[in-house]
Amino acid sequence: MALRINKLVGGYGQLPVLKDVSLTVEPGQLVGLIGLNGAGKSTTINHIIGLLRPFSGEISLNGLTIEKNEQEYKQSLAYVPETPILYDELTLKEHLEMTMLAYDLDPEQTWPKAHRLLKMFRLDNKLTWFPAEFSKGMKQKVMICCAFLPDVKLLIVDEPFYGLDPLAVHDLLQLIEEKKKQGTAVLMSTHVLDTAERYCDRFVMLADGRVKAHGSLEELRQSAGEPDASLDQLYLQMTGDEAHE
Amino acid sequence: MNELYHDRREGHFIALLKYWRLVFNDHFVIALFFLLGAMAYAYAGWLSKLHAVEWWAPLVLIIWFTVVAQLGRFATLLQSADRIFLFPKSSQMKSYLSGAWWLSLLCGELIMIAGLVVTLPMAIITLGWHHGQWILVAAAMLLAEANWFVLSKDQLNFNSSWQAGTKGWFFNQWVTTLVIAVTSWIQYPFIGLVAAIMILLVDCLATNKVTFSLNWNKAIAQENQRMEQLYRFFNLFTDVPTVKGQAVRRQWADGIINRWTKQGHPWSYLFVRAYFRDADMSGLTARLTVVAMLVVFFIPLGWLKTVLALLFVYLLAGELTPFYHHFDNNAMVHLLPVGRKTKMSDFQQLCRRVLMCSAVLIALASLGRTLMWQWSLINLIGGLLLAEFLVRLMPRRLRRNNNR
Repeated sequence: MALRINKLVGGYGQLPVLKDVSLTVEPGQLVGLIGLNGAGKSTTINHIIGLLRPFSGEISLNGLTIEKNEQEYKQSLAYVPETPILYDELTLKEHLEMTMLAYDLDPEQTWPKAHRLLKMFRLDNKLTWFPAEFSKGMKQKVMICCAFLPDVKLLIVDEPFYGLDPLAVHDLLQLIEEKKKQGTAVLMSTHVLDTAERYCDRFVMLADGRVKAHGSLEELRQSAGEPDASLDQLYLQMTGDEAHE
Repeated sequence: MNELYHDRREGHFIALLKYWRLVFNDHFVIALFFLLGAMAYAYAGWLSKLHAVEWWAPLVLIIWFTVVAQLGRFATLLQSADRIFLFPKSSQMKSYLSGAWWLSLLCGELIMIAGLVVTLPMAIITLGWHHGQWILVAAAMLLAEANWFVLSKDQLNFNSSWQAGTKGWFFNQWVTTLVIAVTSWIQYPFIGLVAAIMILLVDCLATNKVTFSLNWNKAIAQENQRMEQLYRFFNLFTDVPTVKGQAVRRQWADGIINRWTKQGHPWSYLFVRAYFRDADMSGLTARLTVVAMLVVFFIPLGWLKTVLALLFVYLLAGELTPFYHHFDNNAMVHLLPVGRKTKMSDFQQLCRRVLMCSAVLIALASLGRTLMWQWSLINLIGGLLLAEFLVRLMPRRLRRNNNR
């Protein structure tokens, strides 16, 4: 089991946003984290990556917890944030070098992989560019290149399609498929439900800080009693009550 | 519209006042105080060696006044959202801009008067003119400044009869000022004054001939640029939140960046690059070092050179210390598996190198015109020892600042 969240209660300051959230992501599996704005998706991710500490409950990654094994835990996961976060003073090439340094990667072995990623996202001629010179989509591509460089146990992608051109979305999904085949667990938060339906193996639907439903598309259909429903319809049905309350 | 302008003007003054208060409370003021003192001392010494009728004096004065006239700015106080919200009021913008223009002109004329006051002692010695001539030349310079502002306002008019583009106006502003300066300082001042009046009249007539229609994009871009320049100036002395220095590649520094980066140390990798490419920090230390070098070069007393050299090393260390927190707001350093153990030692290593380079440069400059090598040697040893001491003190200073 790659990621295991058990009865997580957490949030910002004293305010609990997540209430008793439990979920797992198995190796080689792509899990879609789905919910309305404010449902708790980003809060869940912030807890997993260690930007927030749980009020109660436990998060473990291959048996490691951030409290006991911070360095190993962080080296086991990579993250693509919703909004790109880059170092203003580093060029694209230096961002990749920094990632290699942080994950203790051998530059000689890693650079061919980096060049493949750069070529895929059409950034190979922009190695000396600074973040200020990139568009929002390009910045997101830099984040993707950096996150896909190390071979980690868990990959977290938060709303990865915003700002990306259709070709880049296709390339990203292809990369995620490759990672899955290598045995990486992938947790993806998204609102693009038709894409999620096609690519995700399982779904976790969050509403009001609780797991409303989880499982494969078939399992969700069964629990909703709608055997032919699309993910979009299931999502609207399951979250509709909260949205109109 | 007048009320809107008055409200904005008040808000602008309050904001400026806040920044000026911060400027007069910071380390840099001590440095500037010494610099101005040293420069005034050197200027007075230089004046005493001047003879009457120096051939180069009019040339210096022409260049000086042509440049000083360009220092003013038309402060419209327009904001980016105005192009949307005030667009329906475009026809009334003339009255809004009128108030802004007169205030800007007043500020520009004050700068010109300051320029006149600074050069007056030199001009009196070298040109030997009588009082009447000084009044004429001063009036010509003030009219040149007014003409500069007439052209500035015309730049913002869509219907301007000249339609010469930014370069054309830029050219006009320099050339008309140069013509007035040349006729005033090389010809007889009276001719300069007549030329200034004629040019001002022609420009006023030409610009008033067409109806005014505000070029919103240009006016807002110009005002944003002016405010950014202003904030950048304040940013030399204090932290201005709206000013975020853009990273500059500085390819020439690649060699030193690679040499200063500790192999296998992510924090060293980050700090060294951020220091050289962040316009604020490297710029601040470079400026402070240059000011220190100028001060210790001009001051003739050996012991005072040493006191000031050490004071500047101390000030530099004070400016560098907050750089430790440069990445605190970047979430990536919290997400990447980068240990925190080496952060302090990597930061200290960078500071040690920066401070030692500055200490060596200041010690070299302290040789002065009379090559006082003994004092320079003392400054070198003292500067290096103080730099090392201050670097070792940094963890304690940072802890103390955190506890506050």
